[in-house]
Amino acid sequence: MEGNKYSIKADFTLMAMMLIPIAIAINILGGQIAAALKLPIYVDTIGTLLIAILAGPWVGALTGLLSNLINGIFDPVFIPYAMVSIAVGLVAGYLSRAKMFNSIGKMIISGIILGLTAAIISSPITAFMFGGVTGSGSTLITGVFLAAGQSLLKSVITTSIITDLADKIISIAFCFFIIKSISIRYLSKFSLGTHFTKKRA
Amino acid sequence: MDYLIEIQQVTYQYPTGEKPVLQDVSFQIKKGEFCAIIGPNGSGKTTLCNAIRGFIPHFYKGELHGDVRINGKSIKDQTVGELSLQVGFVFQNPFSQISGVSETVFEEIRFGLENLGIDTVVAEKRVDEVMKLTKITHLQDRNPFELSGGQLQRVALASIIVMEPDILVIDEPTSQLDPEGTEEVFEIIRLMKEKQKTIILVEHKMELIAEYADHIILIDDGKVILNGNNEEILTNEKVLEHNTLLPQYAMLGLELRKHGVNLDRIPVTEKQAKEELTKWFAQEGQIYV
Amino acid sequence: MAGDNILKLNPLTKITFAICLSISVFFADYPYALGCFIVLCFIAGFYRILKDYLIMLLKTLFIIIIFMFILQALFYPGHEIVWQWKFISIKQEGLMYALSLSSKILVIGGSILLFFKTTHVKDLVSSLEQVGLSPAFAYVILSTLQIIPQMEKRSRQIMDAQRSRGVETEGNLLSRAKAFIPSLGPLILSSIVGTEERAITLEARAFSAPVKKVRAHVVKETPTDKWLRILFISLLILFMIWRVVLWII
Repeated sequence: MEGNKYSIKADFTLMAMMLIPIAIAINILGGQIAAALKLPIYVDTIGTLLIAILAGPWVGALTGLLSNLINGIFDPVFIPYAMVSIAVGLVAGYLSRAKMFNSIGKMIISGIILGLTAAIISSPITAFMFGGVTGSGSTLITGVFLAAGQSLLKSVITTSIITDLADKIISIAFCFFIIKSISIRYLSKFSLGTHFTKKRA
Repeated sequence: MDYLIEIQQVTYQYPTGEKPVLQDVSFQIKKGEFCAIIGPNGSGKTTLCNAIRGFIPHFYKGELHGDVRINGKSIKDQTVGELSLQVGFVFQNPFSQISGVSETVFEEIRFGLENLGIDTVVAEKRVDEVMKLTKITHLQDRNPFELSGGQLQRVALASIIVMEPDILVIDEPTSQLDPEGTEEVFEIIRLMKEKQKTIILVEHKMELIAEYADHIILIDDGKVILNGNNEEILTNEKVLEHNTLLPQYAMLGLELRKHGVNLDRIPVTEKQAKEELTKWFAQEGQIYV
Repeated sequence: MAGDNILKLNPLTKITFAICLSISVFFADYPYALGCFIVLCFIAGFYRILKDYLIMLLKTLFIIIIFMFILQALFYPGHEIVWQWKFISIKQEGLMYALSLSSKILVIGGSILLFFKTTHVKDLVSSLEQVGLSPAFAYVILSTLQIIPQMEKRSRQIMDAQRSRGVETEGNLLSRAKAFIPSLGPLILSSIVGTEERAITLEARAFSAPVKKVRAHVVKETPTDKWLRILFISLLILFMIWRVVLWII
């Protein structure tokens, strides 16, 4: 395993497949609980991040895609944003392969990378498909930037960088606590799980 | 004599473990035999079940030395999928033994048959028969997520039995059930014994083992301590040294012997205990009265 | 009855219709898109779910559309001022842009919603499996649909328990944020630990047995389905060609 040979097929173990539904449910529940507690961030990618960190980029991407499609059954606005979730899954998976979640410093860097990824991909969707509207409070921030004379795309990007950076860094911190609480024996079942087992012994 | 299951010098260590969970374990099981595996918690019983079912080495990685042969064929040369055609597996937790995609008990039991590629009409007939056998027909339209532990464990057994494997590996099926649920589960196990299935059962309830098992293996600390037939093992005081109980009737018999009561043999079941005591009362009992 | 006949269409036929309609709106202006939306409403009427359908649209798409009109009307660069009050002005160009965008959103979102309102996801997955979707993938989708309500139920129980133990779920932002962790953490951990036994259960039920699975739940595919799909796709292609030719000339 130390040769760092990764393949899509090796990532999709039965265990990884079994975790996908749980990860999707975590995404959806995280979003619901955050909304119920009226938190200003979405926290609806914890499951995608968690599974990407443990089982690699492609399992993460699939989880992101399915999360948005399933949310899209009840609210079609989620469907175009599947692109964002796929990207978050992929990037988190590759970062995990590069052991970018193994220290607090690296996690903050990963959070920034992921936040930027999400912002860069979601902004054109928000700007050109939905005319700058997100259906959440962040539309107001966009409005402020627009009123200050910025272009639509620029306003949307600035808005989403602010919200996405906070969202991803907090979500990663949450994932870190979850992974710390999972037993070593269980972590070792996933292709990237061993990255988190050595330090503890 | 050909054996259906052969465990040959098996030593196994989990990938994250520090010492082997099984050490040089060897024994054989004949076709149609009911074999009980006993021993204290953490002695390696569940690991042994996983090895017989091929989850070791295919699902749990780690080092496996020695061999497990089913019908003469090594489990190392077969996939978990191929083994599912021969060996059925039921384990402790009833709540995690549902497929997670069925909306009714009927669909749940049919799930395995779909995976085996059985024709739908035949499959439905088999599901009906198994539900009758395991007395769960009344649950057939219920959602599995809404059932009690005892009901679910019967559904889990039915879901395996319907696939008609020759061998059943059953790992502490009643440890999380109440007495009523335990009795219903054992009723099903008894039916399987009548059908000449080869059964490997891990269980702590010694009275039930005394009632059903032909062959008993005592395991402690990953090693086979005792291996013999029902009465040989269940009347052996050495079992007690390994934090494992004997049936209460055997305990009674052993205790009576210590106090000078000469029973012909140590009883292990309620029936035997009655016989022995009646015999003894008839012969010598009067002296004491 | 007409409605009953549509109900029996194969999910793949319905999704082909939804996709073709969604693509077509990019090749025409808003009057066409609004026409398409009226067609969607008629179909919903056939299924006798028009009221439900409109309520669902109100809850999801209309909010976004209203915000979009406000944002675009105020900030879209344009000259033709329709209405002005002090420094706030609504411009014609912005309204037109919002109208064009929102009519497209209405048709795309509306066809997706209508599709799922008239189709069981289970039927969709079965029909996809019949045309070659891998059974493992199908399992993942179906089990997700079963797990979500189970986990929602448990999350509600946990949140109620938190509240009764005095964990603040209201109040200031920090205390609400703090409540998030105990609300979701234990649920995630217990669910994750269960996956190992679930995997073993699946193996015990011959999930990876080297034989072709036979599904009891089969979705019907009639010649009508086949012809309808060909019709939808040909109409879309003809429409696209016509619009592109018009545009070039």
